Amino acid sequence: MTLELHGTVQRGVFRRDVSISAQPGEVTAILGVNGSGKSTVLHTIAGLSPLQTGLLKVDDVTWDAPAESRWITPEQRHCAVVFQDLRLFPHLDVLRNITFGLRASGIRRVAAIARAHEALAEVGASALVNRKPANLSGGERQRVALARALVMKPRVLLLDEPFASVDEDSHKAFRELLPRIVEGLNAITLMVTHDETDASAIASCQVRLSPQELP
Amino acid sequence: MLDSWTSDAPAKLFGVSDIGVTPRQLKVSRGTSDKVFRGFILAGALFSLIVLALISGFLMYRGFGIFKDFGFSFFTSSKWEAAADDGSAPAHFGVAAMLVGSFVVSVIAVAIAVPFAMAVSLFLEYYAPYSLRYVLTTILDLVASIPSVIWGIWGYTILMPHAVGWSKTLNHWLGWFPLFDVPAPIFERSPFIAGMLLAMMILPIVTSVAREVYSQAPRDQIDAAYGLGSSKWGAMRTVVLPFGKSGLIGGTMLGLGRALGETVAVYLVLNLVFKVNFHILASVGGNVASLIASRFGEASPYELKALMAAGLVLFFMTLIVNFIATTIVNRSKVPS
Repeated sequence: MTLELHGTVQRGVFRRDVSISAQPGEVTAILGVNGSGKSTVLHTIAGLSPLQTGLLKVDDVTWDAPAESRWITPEQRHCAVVFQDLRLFPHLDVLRNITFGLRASGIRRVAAIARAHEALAEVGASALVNRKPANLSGGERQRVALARALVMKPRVLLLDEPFASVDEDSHKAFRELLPRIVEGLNAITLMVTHDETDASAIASCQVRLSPQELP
Repeated sequence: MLDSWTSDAPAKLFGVSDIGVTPRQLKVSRGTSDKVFRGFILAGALFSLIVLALISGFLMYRGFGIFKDFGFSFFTSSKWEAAADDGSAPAHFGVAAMLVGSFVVSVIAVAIAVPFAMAVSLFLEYYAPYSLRYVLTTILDLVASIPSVIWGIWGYTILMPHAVGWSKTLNHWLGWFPLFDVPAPIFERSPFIAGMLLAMMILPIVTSVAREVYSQAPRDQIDAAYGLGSSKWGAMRTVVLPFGKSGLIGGTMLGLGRALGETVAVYLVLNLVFKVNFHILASVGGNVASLIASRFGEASPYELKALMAAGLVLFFMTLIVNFIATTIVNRSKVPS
């Protein structure tokens, strides 16, 4: 039961070859300098950018295989992404931000709200439930974004520079919090970072992407 | 030459704007091209204001006597009777029925057009392949340019015979509700049919505005929705529709403005009766614009004044709609 991504990823004019394998229950760090294609890899796995060549398979199910003209939609992938810029929905309060994914996947409102409260408690953000994203600090937003992904209990958790928008104290707190949460989730977790310390502290294996020049 | 303006930006920057410190006057020297451009756009802005003021001034000047003679009853009365030639019956003018008629027909038009416009614009922007999008957009632009008299003829000859059947069905099943009840079983030239025709007429403008705002929905928010397992419709509902809400309201109000002022098409498919009517399937209705169009040719000088006064009412009604639209748009903007 693994994630296998071997092939060419592309976003806009950027294009590169990658080969990544990841196991459930552990964090795989994707390291590389800016412009090496780390985020593009996550976008491809999440179904936001199609694979150009090769194969993407999760738990022996093919998600993306251009040669077979196979591509399954993001909603069928059971992924959850924490984006680098978090992308909380600005017009929804924290609770509705967190229940969004659950409601989209057909879970009833009451059950979704109960799970949202659990996820908020897990990341230590229960007090933020009625606030709008504009009224949250960087660290609070980060916690909400993490809760929004965790609440989905995804098969594949994708974290794009998860500590990018927090201060040093919050960064340390997250570095301790994240492995604990991921362990309980038993998901295939890929974390994009350019911070070697984060990668060593959190990830059990690392994939290093070499710098890539734009065409 | 130096222009000057007051700016409280530096004061805000240093956190002193709330403690009563007078902001510093900033002075800047403008270049010639800047001055010319500034003058040009200022003249354009003033010109449109002047035109508006002249129109309202003209209507007020010509219609003022009517307001003086009839007072508030001009707005509350539904009677529209010119004086008898022999002087045996005095003239009486009131626009209540036409105001209600304008409102009813326009609301029907908006209620039908807006859901269609939303569906069409979402389809064009997010679902249709490029070639189909191009073709459909061109057709919509073409539809927007059809003269209203053509719409009226089409409405009378093609739409009405079909719409009468739909009206009968609505009346049959929903006749228990006063809105769909009819005092007499005559379904031709009703507010419902006029509203449907107007809906088709305003569909291109509302769709065009909706498409424009939906196309600007933030791509990263849409991706965020997909990234949480949302379907395409889920992303539309959570990101695109709330983001486009204020623009859609603006477009709807533009459509409403056109619907309120539409003349010839409504005149052809609506039975002008001076009676306040909320039974939308009944052959009774009217609107201010078609009242003016129908009476203008044979009006006496005094009735002409009354028509000018009715025009002034329509003018202010449209202004109020636009004012409300602007307020709603400003209040309903989604934070980014």
